[in-house]
Amino acid sequence: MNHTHTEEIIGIRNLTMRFEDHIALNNMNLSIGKGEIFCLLGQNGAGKTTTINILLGFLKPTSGEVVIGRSEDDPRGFDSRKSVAYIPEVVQLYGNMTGMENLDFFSRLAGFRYDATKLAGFLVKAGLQVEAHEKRMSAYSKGMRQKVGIGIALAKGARIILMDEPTSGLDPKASSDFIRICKDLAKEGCTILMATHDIFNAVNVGNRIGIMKEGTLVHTIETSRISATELEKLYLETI
Amino acid sequence: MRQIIIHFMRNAWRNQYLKIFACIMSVAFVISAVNNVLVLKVQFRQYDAARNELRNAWIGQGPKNPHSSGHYGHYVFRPAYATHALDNGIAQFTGSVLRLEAHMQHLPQFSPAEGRTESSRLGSLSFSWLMLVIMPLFIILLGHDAISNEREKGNLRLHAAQGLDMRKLLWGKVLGILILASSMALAGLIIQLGFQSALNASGSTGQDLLHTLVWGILCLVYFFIIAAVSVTGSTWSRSSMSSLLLQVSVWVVMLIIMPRITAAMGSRLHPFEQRSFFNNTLRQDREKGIDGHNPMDERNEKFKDSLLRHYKVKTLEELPVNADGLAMQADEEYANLVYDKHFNRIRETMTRQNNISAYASLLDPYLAVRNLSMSITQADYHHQLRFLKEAENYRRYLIGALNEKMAYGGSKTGEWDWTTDADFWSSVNDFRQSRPDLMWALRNNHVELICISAWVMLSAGLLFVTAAKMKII
Repeated sequence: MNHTHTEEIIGIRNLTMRFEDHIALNNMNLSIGKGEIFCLLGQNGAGKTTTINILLGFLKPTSGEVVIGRSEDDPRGFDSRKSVAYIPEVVQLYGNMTGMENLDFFSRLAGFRYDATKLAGFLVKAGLQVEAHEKRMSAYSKGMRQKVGIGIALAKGARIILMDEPTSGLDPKASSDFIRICKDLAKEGCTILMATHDIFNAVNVGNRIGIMKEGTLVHTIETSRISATELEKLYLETI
Repeated sequence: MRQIIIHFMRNAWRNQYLKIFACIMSVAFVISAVNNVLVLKVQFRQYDAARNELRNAWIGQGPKNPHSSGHYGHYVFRPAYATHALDNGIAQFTGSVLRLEAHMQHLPQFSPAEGRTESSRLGSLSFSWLMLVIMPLFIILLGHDAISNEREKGNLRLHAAQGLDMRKLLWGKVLGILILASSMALAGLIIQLGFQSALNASGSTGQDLLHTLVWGILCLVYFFIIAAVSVTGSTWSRSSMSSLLLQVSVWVVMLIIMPRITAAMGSRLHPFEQRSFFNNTLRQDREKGIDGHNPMDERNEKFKDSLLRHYKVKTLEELPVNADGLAMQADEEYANLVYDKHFNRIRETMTRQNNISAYASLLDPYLAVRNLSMSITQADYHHQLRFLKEAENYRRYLIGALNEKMAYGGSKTGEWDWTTDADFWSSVNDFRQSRPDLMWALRNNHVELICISAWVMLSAGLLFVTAAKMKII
């Protein structure tokens, strides 16, 4: 582990996941520090989403463990249900409700009740224009939906955000906005694990990048030491 | 869980298709209410008018031979209750008028459904049909995609990621469906009761209100079972479409096919004997005696001999009483034994047929609810049998009173043209059917009550197990 973030927030130890005959994750080890953005690159089926699903508690690993927020001061670690937020590839939410209503609903599910001003503040911070707040989400673009997803993570006060292909299908402007917001969140101490296919965005947003192949984390690279072209070459050689 | 319930209801409220369905149901409720109330009003009016007219005719017979009156006969009417507006069960198909005659037990005639050929073919738009058959379809529309749609849209992951307990999600959805369905049902009930009140056709008593309340609770329990099964089905389905297809198929099997299968099985396994066979055995037992060795003429002779011995006279003319009246009463009592024997056999067959539907309730909660609904509204076969039994008891009392008048009223044996005084008729009590209470109705359907309780526990258990085992992805 060669990186500048010392306080481990996400720890993955000897993680293996088998689905009958298929090995989705093969003895994976990874440590992600506080305020770090770690991008997982890999083809479909490489094990990126499985890793996220295990971190979210949706899947139980065959062996190994994941540790969230465990330290000497806090040996039990974070309560993952309270500290982890999730942004899927497609944030659908509820089309017949406004962005504000969706945010309010998901905040309440997490146990938070905010007034309209605070809710609007989360959406503004997530980059959603004020005039869109009271529009039904059926009229939102994918980028706007992703911003509501970030708003939900912000409202939850999540210290870790797990993102599964969040920039997939976004136009360049929306993608660029999204990356800027991620960087802002990381500066505030939020740890982000992002599964993506997008090599150039990964280089732009991530502090480190992991390349996965057939369930194995083959390379872990610090983005400050590699260019997008070199990363692309390494990626193509790896997969 | 409260958030899930509110959210579910808000989403449903904004769903255009559900609004359309709710409008259609409201119109159906209004049509059903108007129809049921008008029918009920006519029944109340006819019941009162016919009863009064016949009682007056009975009292006003004037001087007349009691035996002639016994053969002329009398009529009793099955009362209609306000609760029949909710579910008129078999009361619409079984006769409501019974002719009482000496020596004869008649079957009821003139069912309310007679003459309504269209409704006989298609089934009427009854309130119970809307509540017990159509409302489940509404619940399926609400519940079939309650979880599958969340999974398809990726929202289920977000729910779980927000730390929501899946038990709360499933129960929240079920309760949301239950509140919506109950609200619609309550609106229907208010429409129904409102029309009854507005058309001055309620005839409601405290007992009617109690029965209505319990009937409402039964519907609520039924809706819960369907909602729980629907949400569970939605959780385990691969897609909302497959969930809908499966649940509508189950609806067809449980609500359309199963009742017909159980009815067909009942009549197949326990068929009624043919009427000609029934009438023949009845006549033979009466003429030759129940044991076949006690013919009517011999019985009559033996009875007259015993009378002569009792009064210590040699001829019937010397008797201080009319032997014909006593002989007719003795014959009546023997005939009662014969009728009881044969009618009990028919009743046992009916009970066996109904038991099939009762025990099938373990497989199909609709059968349990349908039987309980008819029972609570006092329109099931137990209530019909009770009416027949009480009418028969009254017939025996009535004929007994006429024979007694013949025997001890002052006439002599063979004096068939003797007439009683005009006041006699009012001394004979009128027929009044006792109204059974709710517990009587429920006791008769204890199998269905056990089955429905089992279904409630099974539904709740399904939700708990599903919440524990369900997959988020």
